[in-house]
Amino acid sequence: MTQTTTPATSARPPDGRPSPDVDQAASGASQPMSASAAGRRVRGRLGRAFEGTPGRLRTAAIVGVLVTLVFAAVGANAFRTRADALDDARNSAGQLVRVQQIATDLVRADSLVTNAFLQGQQSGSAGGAGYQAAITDASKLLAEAAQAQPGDAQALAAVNDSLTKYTAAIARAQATNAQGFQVGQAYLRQASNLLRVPTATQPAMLPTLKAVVAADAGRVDDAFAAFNRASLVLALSGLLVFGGLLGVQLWLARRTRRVFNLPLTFGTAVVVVSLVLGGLTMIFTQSSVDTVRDTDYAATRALSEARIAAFDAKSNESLALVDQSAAADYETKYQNQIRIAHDELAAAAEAGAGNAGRTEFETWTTTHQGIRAADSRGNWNAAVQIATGQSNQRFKAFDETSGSALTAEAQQVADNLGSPHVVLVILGWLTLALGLIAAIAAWLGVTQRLEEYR
Amino acid sequence: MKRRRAVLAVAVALALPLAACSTPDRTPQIPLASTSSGGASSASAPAAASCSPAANASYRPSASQPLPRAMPPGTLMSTVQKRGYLVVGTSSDTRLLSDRTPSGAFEGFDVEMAKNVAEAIFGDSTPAHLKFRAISAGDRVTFVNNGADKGGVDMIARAMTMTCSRWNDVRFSTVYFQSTQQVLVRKGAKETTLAALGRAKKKVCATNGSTSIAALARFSGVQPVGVKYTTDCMALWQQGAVDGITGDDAILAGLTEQDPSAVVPGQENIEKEPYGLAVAKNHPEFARFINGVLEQMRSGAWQAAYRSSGLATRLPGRTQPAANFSRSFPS
Repeated sequence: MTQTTTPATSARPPDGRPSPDVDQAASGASQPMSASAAGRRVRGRLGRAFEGTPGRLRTAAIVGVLVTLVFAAVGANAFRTRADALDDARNSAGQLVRVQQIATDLVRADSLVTNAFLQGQQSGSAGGAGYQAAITDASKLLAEAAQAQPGDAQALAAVNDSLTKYTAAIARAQATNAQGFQVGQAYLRQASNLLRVPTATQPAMLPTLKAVVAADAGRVDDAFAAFNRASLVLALSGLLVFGGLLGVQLWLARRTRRVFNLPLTFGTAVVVVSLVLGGLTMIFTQSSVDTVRDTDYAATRALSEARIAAFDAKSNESLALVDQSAAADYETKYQNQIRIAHDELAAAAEAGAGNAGRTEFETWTTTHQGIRAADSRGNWNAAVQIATGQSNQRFKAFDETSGSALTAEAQQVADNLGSPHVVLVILGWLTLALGLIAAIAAWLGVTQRLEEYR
Repeated sequence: MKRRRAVLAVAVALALPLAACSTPDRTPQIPLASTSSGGASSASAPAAASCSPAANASYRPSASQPLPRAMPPGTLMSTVQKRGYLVVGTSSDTRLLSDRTPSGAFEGFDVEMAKNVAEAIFGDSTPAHLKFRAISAGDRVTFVNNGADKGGVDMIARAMTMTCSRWNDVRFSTVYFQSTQQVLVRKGAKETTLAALGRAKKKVCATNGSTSIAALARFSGVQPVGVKYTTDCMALWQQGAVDGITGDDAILAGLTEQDPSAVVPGQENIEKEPYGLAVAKNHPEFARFINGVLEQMRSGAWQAAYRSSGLATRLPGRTQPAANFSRSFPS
């Protein structure tokens, strides 16, 4: 217990009230006194208050109350932290989905416009309307996403800037192509590069968005980590309070030869109840959040990535026929994207997304062989016919199935990361209340003994 | 032999000062497609005068040009005839020379040349007998040497300039079109020549690896901008990113068709760009056969192609170049 250097002979009133000379020392600012002497006097006063059995009882009371208060505060805060972490995870996951949707809109627009270019269509056609809708959606989401996460704003502003140039290049491509001018292909290549190939002076949209998605995924992971740490904090504070209260009670029992201290036992019981409730809540929310992370969240990310890669592959399939002399390069890019889409769809299925357009995707990829075969045979017209016919129909089926699966998964993420929130908030307040009750009980339990010394 | 040496000496004397004033930092960074021999000036020096035999020289046709559907055995023409179709590598976006129409068919002057070769082998040039493959300029040598049966092509008709160094990689026909390097500028522009553009420190676009971009090094002050396709140059020019485009007059003519504000003043006298049809290095007999076809075209087919392709409208007054048969056929 408290060890002081106060001499044992100094008189100390049993009620622990400060002696007059200490009073004097405490208020002795008027008297000239060295700092060390004043310190000694104060220590002397405090020392006397914590000396002998009553002093030890006071110490015990303070220890008991302090540990319970610490528990109340830290425990309540642990729940609050966990609830906040969950909010962060949900918001960052929402942002991630939003940014992936921007990327999806852009590759969708690009796939439609390159395919329409192949058909020699002009803006205002079916491809043009879908293209416009996708660009409008991307613009809207860019503004929303920049507002939702200031950390992403700068990168998203760069994407917005590139998007303006992209739509201008596409407009020129469509206009010149409609006139039958070959320069239209050059504008289409420019647009494609604005989307995919960064230069020293011009960042490309897809790589930038990919970096933003990575940053958002990092934020989600950080939030999950903070969420996990909260249960450790609760456990540690529980261990502290439990050990503290048990220690006080054992000490009291030995010191006062009374085995049972009712208020203290009650306080300890309240702490135990609070800990059990808190622990169960932690375990329950942990498992439900772990599940969301490994299923719905993982599926959402994988499905988004799969769709971005698939749309990109679709663009490359068309570009290989537009810019035929570079067909081999586009074919390589096509194959790379197909591999990514294939793997991500498998990952989504593993995360519980089910088919989610997987069958439709594989069906679509089989048409590609027909396109390449026709083009290699020198039958460009037949290749274009498949690329703008069967390929589009089959891709549409994939788009629809995977799109609705993605919407459902993203909703699941929002819902399932949202529902434990209220429980955590309630448990936070409950822990605080129970902690305060336990603190009062601890105080009462010790002062009850202290009364016996008056 | 003595006379050739003299020509060579004059050429070197002419070329050296030119090479000397092209400082390394202004030389385009992009490696040239063919600078394997002939020293630093081979790619940019007048192609026809820097080697012996001259770059525009090809093989004298045989006394008896084979008749359609009767190709001599052991020749590439016989292989093509047996296969049933000729595969020609060309461009898909070089208006007037070779581009693809919305219907998917190729058209242009290069395409007409290919049709004449197909007709000489099969008696007609229907799509069944003649297939085009769009290839990039950089792929020309590889594709023609691979051959159509190994994923390549039988012949290149793609605005390919005959140069000394390219003769190391392929075999050329005689010249089927004499192009010259010119510059495209905006109508009413103050600077109408490469020299003037250089003095004004203007940006001039050309395709990477072309003889044109190499020649830009001779115009002090010009800031060269290298791209993959001439249409890329056109897009940059329309966007105001470059002030001029340099390239072969036949190619620039196709660009001016796509923009009424573009004009080719035609004041350059840089170098001749003799276009030849290229075949695989190991098939000189096909080049000799094509030379026979080109000779037959003097009776009207060349002029017909010149007119129907639209080239005559943009570049009027041209005639089929005289053939130089001074290259001896390899034994």
